[in-house]
Amino acid sequence: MPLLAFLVLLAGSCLASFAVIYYTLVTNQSTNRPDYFRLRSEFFETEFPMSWFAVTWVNKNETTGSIGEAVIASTNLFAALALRVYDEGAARSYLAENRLTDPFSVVVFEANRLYNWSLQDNSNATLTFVENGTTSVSGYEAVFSRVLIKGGIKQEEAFYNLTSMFIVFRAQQRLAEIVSWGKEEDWRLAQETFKAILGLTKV
Amino acid sequence: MPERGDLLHAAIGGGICFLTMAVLVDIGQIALEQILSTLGIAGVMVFHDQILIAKAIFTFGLIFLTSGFLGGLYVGYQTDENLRTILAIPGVIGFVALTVLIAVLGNPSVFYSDILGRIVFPLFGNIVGSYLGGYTLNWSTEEEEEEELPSTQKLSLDLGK
Repeated sequence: MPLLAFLVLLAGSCLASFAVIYYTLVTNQSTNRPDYFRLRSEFFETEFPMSWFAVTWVNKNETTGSIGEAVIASTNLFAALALRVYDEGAARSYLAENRLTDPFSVVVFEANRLYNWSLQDNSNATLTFVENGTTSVSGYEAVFSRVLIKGGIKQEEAFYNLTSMFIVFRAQQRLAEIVSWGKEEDWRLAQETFKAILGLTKV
Repeated sequence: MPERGDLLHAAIGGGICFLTMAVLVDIGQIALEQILSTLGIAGVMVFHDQILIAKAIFTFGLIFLTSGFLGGLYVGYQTDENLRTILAIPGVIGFVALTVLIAVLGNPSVFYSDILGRIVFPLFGNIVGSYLGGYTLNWSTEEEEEEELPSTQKLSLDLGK
């Protein structure tokens, strides 16, 4: 009898746990794509594949303003996307601190920051701006650049090319940055997913 | 009143409870995340508050109830006296020991941010598991004692006449 009670409690707790997970899944499922989750914060709304891993957080500072961030990463490819939205105060502070004037200068600044990070592991890495242009994101005109950093990422003592795309735009008084990056081949494989996420993002 | 030997077995049961938890606690946390990844829904972990509840319930059964059960099983094997009093001890010892370990090695503030998962479920799971484990080996003895009681009382009444 006690053994039976133990087994029932054990099975019951596992079932209850999965019931909570199932409820979470169903209530946060995207209406656009059933295999995507809907992610909402006070800064942005986006959707991402259920099989991808995501984290979201807010950096709050009473003086400089707040920044809403999210990172969405593939679980089987070396590829990820980061979303960062600065509120008015944080945008002003960020632009002033780094002496930036417009979205394109932000793109160049962030690309160089990524390149400097690569140089820490590989001093022979080289940065190339492959493509520049404008696009529409969340109804706003955005500037984008795709860069290739040869030898930009180190994995298990080997160096691989790093591809990254920077998309920056002003959403009224806010500043939004969307950056996707990954190993060259993995980034290419994940490109369709990145495009889908971008199309479903609202700031 | 519990004897010294019974208290010693209860303490050892507490040790078994604690050691089982120490081994299982990380495995349990990782197991749930692995299951979600295998099912292709790793993204659900972004909904932190709900997943914390799911983790608490999952670890209640898999870790705390099981650890208490093993501790109580040992006590039930070693003694069948004063079980109602003794069997609370392994669960409490196991819980206190794990709490102290987490407080010393980790960040004590986790207890405030997750009272359900860090205090309520572990303590409840350990104690309930301990009782279930202890009575698993002694359930038939308890039932026999309850059946014997009326005939013993009848014999006393007859002698009294």
